[in-house]
Amino acid sequence: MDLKDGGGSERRGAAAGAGAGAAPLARQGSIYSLTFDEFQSTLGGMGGGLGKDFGSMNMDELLRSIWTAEESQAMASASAAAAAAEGGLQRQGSLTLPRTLSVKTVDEVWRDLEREASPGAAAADGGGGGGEQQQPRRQPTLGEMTLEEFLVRAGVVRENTAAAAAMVAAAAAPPVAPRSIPAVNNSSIFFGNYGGVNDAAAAAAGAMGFSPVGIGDPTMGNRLMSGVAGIGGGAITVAPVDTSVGQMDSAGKGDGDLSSPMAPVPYPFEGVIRGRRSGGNVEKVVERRQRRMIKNRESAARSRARKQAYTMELEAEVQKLKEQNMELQKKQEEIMEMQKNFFPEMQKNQVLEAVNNPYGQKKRCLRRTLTGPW
Amino acid sequence: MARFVDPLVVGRVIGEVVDLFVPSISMTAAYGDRDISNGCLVRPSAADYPPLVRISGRRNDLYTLIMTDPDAPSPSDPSMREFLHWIVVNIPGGTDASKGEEMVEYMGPRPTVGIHRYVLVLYEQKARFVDGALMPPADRPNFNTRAFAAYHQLGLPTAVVHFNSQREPANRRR
Repeated sequence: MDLKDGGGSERRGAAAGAGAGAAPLARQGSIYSLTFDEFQSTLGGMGGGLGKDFGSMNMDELLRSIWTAEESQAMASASAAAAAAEGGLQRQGSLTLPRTLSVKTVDEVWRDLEREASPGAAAADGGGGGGEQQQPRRQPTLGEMTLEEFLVRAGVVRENTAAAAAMVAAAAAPPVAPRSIPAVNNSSIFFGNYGGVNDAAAAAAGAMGFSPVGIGDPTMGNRLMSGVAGIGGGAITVAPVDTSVGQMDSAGKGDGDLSSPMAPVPYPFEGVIRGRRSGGNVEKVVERRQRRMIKNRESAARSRARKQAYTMELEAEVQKLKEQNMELQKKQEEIMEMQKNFFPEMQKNQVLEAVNNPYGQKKRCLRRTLTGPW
Repeated sequence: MARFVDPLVVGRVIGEVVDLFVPSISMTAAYGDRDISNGCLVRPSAADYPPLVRISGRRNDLYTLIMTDPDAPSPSDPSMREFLHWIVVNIPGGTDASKGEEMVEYMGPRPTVGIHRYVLVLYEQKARFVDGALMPPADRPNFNTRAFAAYHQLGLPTAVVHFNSQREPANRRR
């Protein structure tokens, strides 16, 4: 089981290098709610521990070890809090590691974060020193930071930076309501994911008899996340979370004694997750496209109306001119008739000529005068 | 001779700018030597100066001419509807708009986005407007022809002409 999963995670680790490693992260939110200290002890306890200290690992190695660990480890305590955290983490999009970040060691990243965090906190507090005092109290050391927060803040999750930033802000200062987190949660997909957690959790727990670690802390950390999820997702998320928790727990217990290796679930769920992950973007894209389509249709309708209006105007113009023309022709006929009566000696042709070419007579006169005197 | 109103209905000038009316006065407008028929396209650069608007009617009657753009700033989001371009009052019948008094100075079409309609509406006045009786609109954007007509008791329009205009590519601009 362990081996198999290790292989799976390696494969995925390779994929993650290319930027598509969201699946494990999404499938089990629980591991990300551990602090570094807990995570390290977990790895050690499992025997799969890496000899290295986290601080000296580079980010790539850290991620890899996380994936390995979470593959082989399931939290029976993956309950409401974990689910919510999962929602929170997934919302960030895929777990991608920027090139520049992957070669940095965890310690370096941590230092960077601390440097970034202090002015930010200070600004948030309004006062200069207040923020710096609070900051260390909340996150005194790297060891006490949760993996999730670390990853998010380090910028590992890059796809949805705005949401990530909002989440970090929310996690750092829980009473402050996040302004806007796109509501991309979709309850049906939510259930699908819980299923994934269930199965993995049950399978792993059954196979390894692993006991949950650090329940208190994760739930603490995750309550923040659940708050975020609740606010972000609006009314959709809250109810499903509760029901599915019950369902999940019972399912976990029921399946717990099955030793069937159900580990390779990631692929089908990956699909679901990918759908959901890009769900936010897709939804946005679809919405935008729809808006554009509506606008386009309106514009097309206007264009048609314009054309039709112009055509009608021209037709009306044609009609008017035709009538005018007929009227004029009638008038001409009348005039010709009159001329015939007044000058009976004039032939019809001459009259026509006179009408059509009123200067004809004049021309003739002119010619005569030209030829006359000389 | 009165024009047909159908093009105005189809072009949604009747409805968005004025109510259904029966034309009783003939009005022709021309930018330079180019006559304006409903729905024709006029380049903004050709409309920098006020058009020659000739009206029929008796010499003793006075008319008010209003030109607005119901599609500002963009036809799909006309948040400034209507944008006022011109008001001329006290135009004697049988003459042209230059014989009236310009209440709001002419401003040529400047469509930024999309194809805009520019509507010339003619009202018959009940009496001559003297200086105190007029309430000039505060601003060009968000002008309302109907409200203006109602306020000055102009009733229904007697003639309407509209043309379209579209932003010109920079290289074609004179």
